[in-house]
Amino acid sequence: MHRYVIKRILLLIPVIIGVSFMIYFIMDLAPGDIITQLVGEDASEEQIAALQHEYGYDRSVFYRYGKYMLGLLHGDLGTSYITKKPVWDMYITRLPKTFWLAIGASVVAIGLSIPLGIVSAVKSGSLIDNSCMVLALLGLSMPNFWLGLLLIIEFSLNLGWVPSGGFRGFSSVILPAITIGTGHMAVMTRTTRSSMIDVIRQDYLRTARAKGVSEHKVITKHAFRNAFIPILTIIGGQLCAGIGGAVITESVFSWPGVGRLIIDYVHQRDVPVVTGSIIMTTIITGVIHLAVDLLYAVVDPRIKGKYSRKGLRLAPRVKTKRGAA
Amino acid sequence: MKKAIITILCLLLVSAFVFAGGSNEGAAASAAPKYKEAVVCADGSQITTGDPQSINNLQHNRLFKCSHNTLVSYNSAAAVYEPELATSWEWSSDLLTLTLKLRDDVTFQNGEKFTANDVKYSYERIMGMNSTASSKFVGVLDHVEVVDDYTVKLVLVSPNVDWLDTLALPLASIVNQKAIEADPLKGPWVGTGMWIITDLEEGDFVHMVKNDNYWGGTTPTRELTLRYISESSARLIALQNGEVDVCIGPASTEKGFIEEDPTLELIEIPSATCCYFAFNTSKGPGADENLRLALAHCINYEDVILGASSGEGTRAITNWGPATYGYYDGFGDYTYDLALAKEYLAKSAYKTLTISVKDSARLRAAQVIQANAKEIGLTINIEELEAAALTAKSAFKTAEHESMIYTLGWNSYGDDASRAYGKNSNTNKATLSDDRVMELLKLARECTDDAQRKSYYAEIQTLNHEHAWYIPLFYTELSVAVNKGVSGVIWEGHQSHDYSNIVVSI
Amino acid sequence: MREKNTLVSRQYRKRSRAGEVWHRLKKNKGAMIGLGIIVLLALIAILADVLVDYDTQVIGMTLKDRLQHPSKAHIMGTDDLGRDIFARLLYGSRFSLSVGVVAVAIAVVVGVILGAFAGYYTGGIVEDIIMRATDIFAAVPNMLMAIVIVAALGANTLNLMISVGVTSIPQFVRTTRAAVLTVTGQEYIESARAIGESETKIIFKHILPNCLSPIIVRVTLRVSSAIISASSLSFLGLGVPAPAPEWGSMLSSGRAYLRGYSYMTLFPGLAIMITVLAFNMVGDGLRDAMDPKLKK
Repeated sequence: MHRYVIKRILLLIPVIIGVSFMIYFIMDLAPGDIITQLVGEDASEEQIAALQHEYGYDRSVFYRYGKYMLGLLHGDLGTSYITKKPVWDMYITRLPKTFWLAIGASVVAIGLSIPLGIVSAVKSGSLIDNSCMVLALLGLSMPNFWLGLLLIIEFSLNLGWVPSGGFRGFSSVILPAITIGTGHMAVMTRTTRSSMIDVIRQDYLRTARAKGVSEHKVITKHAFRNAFIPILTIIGGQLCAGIGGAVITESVFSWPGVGRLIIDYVHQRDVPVVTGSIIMTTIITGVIHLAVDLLYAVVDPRIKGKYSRKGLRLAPRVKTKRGAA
Repeated sequence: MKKAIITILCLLLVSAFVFAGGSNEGAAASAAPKYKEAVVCADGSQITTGDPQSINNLQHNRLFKCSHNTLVSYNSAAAVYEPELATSWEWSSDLLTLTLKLRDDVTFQNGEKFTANDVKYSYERIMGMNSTASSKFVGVLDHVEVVDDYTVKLVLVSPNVDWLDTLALPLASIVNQKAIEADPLKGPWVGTGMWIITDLEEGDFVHMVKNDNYWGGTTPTRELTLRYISESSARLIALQNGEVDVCIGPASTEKGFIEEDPTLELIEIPSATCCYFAFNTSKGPGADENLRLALAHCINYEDVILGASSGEGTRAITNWGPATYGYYDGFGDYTYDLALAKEYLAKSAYKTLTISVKDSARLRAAQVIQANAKEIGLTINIEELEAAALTAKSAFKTAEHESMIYTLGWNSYGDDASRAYGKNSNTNKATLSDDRVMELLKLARECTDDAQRKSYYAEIQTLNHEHAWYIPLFYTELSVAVNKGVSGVIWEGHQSHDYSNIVVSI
Repeated sequence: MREKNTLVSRQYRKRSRAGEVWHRLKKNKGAMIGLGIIVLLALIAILADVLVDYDTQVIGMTLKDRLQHPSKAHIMGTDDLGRDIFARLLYGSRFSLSVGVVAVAIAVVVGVILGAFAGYYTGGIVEDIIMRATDIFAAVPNMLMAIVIVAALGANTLNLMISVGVTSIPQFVRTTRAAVLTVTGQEYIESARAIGESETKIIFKHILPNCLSPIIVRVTLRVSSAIISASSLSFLGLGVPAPAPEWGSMLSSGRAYLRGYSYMTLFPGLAIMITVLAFNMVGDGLRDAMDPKLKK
């Protein structure tokens, strides 16, 4: 088990290097030049030259990337070109807000889609099933900004129940969480439905029913527990997507999250902020995926054995009979 | 059943009257006006730093006017310079040295005493900063001499009549050396102003508490927060909900909601912001005067104002601030004349033009102009760029744009024109390097005779009208929605409002 | 000789399978409605030039008629520049559909080829390189990746398609690889190899055709999320340049008018919603029809 965890964490390193390389180069080579941004309207040539030297823009992009990665090796995510603040500080003040929003969105998505999924699985093929699925899809198809503003007008302006935006305690999470959460509903409801259908038809449920266990208990306890693994994967995936920030929802709700941090600085060509924040997102995402995989073992003890025996495999892969190509 | 309901309703009504009466009495009892302790102002642009010398833009200027002080300040209502940290000042006869006497009763928010050394430290810090702010100082200020604790001499490189204006800008705020050396990031937050910055969360808010040791008076407000709300609809809703007290720039289509709401008030500010069309005159189609004049005569200016800002704006005749020193419009406007425009276009080799724009109002203006130009057979392509890309593309030395729509907030002093017309200025979106214009700018900068100076500026504007380097479009209308109790704010046409004495009565 | 027989019987099997899927799909009302909507939208997109005149109706503006509520003259009202929203919506189907379809086409071509190689040369260096590169791409959240790419390339229709397409590649690599892995072990592949067919031929002729169903399902679903991504990018000003009537940018230009003139966002919002819904319903229907486990 330990070896598996360590191996998985080590495997993150090449991904981080790859991600940082890709983002750094795209950002650095994008049109739009940070030096003009910094010195502004009427800078002299000497000023520009001095700045170019300071930021390494008199050398090649490889030099700048190398310097950045050297810093990263010492745990330094870099310093913003624009604000001169450490990227770590900028990221870490945003992370909790993004984190709460991601959690909130997952809670909304789970709360709405698991009941919907179970109902449509139980009533599979009926009108109820179809309406549940359409309802779930509506959440996905409604553009986030539109839904967001409609929610603000109704619940904040007309009813005055919650603040209109910003990070102001628990109540302020509700509307943006609904906006994002309903977007996740479709996939989660569909997954719940199909894995429930898989499970419902299996023999041991028939046995349970035969033994006189109530239908309600059969569904909620026996079936759902076994259908939970695919759902867990989706929840993990959506948490990860949430950690990267939701740019549009964040700007509708003036939410000071990671998404807006990144897009603001993409616009300003602040390479260290963008690269550093995306590296952090990658690391956190990797850890969440690992946590989800470990949770499988909790939900289904059979999986635990797999991890310790074949601890070196990334994920269970399909076996093939093929020899060398 | 019905009776019961009616009885309940009556009881409710009666109790409502009783409670309402009670509260009225309470209000009457405390005759002295009551003020909110914590005031919140919302804006659509975010504040990223508390260092006044590192940046020069509207939303930051509003912050620094609260937290820091400059040596002098400009009173735009009376059009005079007023003492702030300096009590008096005097120019030498060659206009190269400015000697200022300083206040001796000022302390910084960290308890340090304010002296002439702080002025020297602050200005030298700007000069070494290599930022957008420093370019206002580098090449203008030669050095700072400390005469005694409360006297300071500023020696300039060449005469500059507008130097006091630079000193009045928030970027020339006085900062404290000890604070900055102790903490390079938060040290610059420490100023001598009425408000102490306690918390700054980028992309969210800046929180300030009142400086009880402030040298310049007091206010009943205890806390002041500047909040960033990017969507204009959400910003107005926050105001309607009472979450904020000031909402900068409500959407023009939503002004009806402000009028409907008895607790809100709309403040209209005469604007100094000019929206204009700029050709890149250094190369390509923009270098062709016939094409420029063709466009100037085919634009339907009323439609542009209608499309870009719902009709809320006034047509601009010249590319100059309406309240800026040296304003001149004696040459009249470009007539809307399609035949004339076609004539000019026939003489031009170019039949297509690309407009680069960034935000939505300019994008709408560009679409109207695109439709106008189609009438005379001129094809216009619109290129939507983000701010960074557009700034880089239109930078003076490396300008690649063909034309663009730009808005410039004009300051009150004359030399502000060198931003739009001066060589090497990155706001010179026409990439103009006309010799006569450069000469005129220099002459005006060094001239002390009022009439003479104005004639230089009038000539620049006349030249622009003849050559149509810039086609002035309109002055944007500025409005601010506020809670009705708000007072004490100095609203400025260039939008760097002064919130320091804001109060909200309740 | 024996080989030929298996091939023939496989061909037969495949055809009947497609027929069977269609048969099952036809019974799914949701999927058929979705399919109907898609066909209708495709027709509108193709015939857009016939239905409305681009110069006068779609981009032609009458400023004095701006912000008119829906009426007989303008059944969906006019926008902030006095353009007919209905005409723009019809023409906009072209941009929104083509961005979605082309983006996914880019992703399918690249993703399926890479996925097939990764699945076929499993355990080797080819698989490692492809899958690690996929991991790297997938590690960055889609929307952020797309924003960074558009910012780098510049905002226009083609770059919009590329950025949305590139962010969809990892999914197709993974889906294809998984499908190829299950097929590769089967006997007819072994026999094809035994008679010395080239590797490329085996992959493209024998393996991929048998992996189609998960890929087709993925394509349908992905088109819908591509449409959403594209309209989100347009909403952020990173999409199709003005005055082209892309739905996302129509939505974006209506954001300042939402409270007084909600129809400006209502119709493009509904258009996006209906399109996405249609693709999803077809995708879901296909998934059910192709998955024998869900057979009654």
